[in-house]
Amino acid sequence: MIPAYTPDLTADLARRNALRLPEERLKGVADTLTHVRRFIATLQTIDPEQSVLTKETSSDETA
Amino acid sequence: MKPHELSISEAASLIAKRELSPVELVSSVLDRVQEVDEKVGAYSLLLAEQARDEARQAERKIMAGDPVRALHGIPIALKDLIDVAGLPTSASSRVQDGHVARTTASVVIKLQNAGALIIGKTHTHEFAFGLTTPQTGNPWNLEHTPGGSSGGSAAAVAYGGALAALGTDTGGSIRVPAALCGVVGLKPTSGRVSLDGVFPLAASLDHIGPITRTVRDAALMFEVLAPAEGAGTAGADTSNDDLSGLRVGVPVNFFHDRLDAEIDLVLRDLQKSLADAGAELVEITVPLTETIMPSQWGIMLPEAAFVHRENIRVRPDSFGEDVRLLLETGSLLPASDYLLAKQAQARLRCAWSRMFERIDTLIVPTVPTVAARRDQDTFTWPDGVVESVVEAYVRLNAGANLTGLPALTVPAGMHSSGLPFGVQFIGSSRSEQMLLRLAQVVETVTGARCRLAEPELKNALDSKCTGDP
Repeated sequence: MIPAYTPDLTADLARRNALRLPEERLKGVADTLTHVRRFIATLQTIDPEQSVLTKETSSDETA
Repeated sequence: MKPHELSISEAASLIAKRELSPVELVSSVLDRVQEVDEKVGAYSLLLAEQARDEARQAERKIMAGDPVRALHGIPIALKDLIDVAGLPTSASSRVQDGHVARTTASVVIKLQNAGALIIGKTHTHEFAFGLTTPQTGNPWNLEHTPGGSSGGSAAAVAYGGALAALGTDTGGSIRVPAALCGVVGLKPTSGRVSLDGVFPLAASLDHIGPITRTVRDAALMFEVLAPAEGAGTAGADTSNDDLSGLRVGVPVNFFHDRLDAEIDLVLRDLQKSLADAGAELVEITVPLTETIMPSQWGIMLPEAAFVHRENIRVRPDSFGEDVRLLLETGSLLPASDYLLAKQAQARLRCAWSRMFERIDTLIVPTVPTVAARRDQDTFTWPDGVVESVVEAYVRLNAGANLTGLPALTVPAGMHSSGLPFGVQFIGSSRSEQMLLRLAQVVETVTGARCRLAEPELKNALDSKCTGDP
């Protein structure tokens, strides 16, 4: 399962995507991102041939 | 009957026979807007004087013996995502403050070329990114949402503030408000009606289509927006009520899960009525339904974030909180999630294409329950599951967006709460005429020629609708 996004991880991700996220917004975005990513990831389980995406959250962002 | 209560086909016929003036018709509609819209809040921009001027011109043309076009003198509203040159496209957002469109959307040009008068712009959920249109009340009960995102358009048509309106639909945004406001809504086949000049939400999923009070009117509007190809093609004929040979798919999965009992019962009765009209009911397991919602979110969030990539970085405070959160989330989703969703979309398209070799249409509910209260965020189902209002309204509709297949909602009845609901037909690619025929049969069976909503502020204690199914 995709690990939960933390506020710190979300802040780092936002910086790398040039997205301004004030501190008070970090938890809300982190929670939503976790929920949405886990929901999308269920698509993997529906296709048994698909083997992508149980990556750790820290390893799938690019600078 | 006052002119604003007429359907397009009725008004157009009277105008052509010179028994109704476009000036009378526009005046009646504008009077109705003045009487009611302060309570409902459907309009973001009313073009009263322009509409009156155009009505006078339309009247002069008739008196001069000019050919009468299909929508001559008919007042129509536009969802405020649709550009009209010289006017703001507000998208019901502060982000658009100061915006003025430089060109006019293709759909508007088509309507105007058919003689329609643009009466104003209607509120949308901000940038179409929501299912409730907070600025607008449901004309059947102002304490409830009209749905969204084309809530302003649906509300205006439902109370008589326009004879028809245009909406857009990315995850149900024509069909949901149409069903919740008791009017007809058509999401055409993907690509069949031009989106040129329409502010996008998600390019893979966006559609534009008409919201009307009758099925016949929806057919007329569709004929103007997407003229039938080839000589002799039946344009707006919905009168053939013999459904012999038509295979109507009745889903045994997904579409009747977590569904209000009254709506379920009415739909089952409608299925029988279609069978009485000659249709063959075919029980069918709809494939890959478990992929619909994750695909929808996996595509919509990043595509919307791409549309707003500059403003979400430069002026994020100008967005409403709900839209801002979705755009921020979409901005941080990895490409692999998007591609996974696109892959699932492709599979769904193939699977549903094969499904429509075995049936001609699916009959499904448009909404699982009637309009939520305006301050309501969730529904609690009898099995204890708590579901967000947004997800409840999107789940029965997103399949048609993902596959690009046409879908039409028609009023199916009045809930015991006093709020309307709809039944939806989904068909194979470019099967809009068949969907319109089916919807016409429903309209005949239910006698649900939409009576106008009479908005009034009801005391919350008097309302039968608790908001929970």
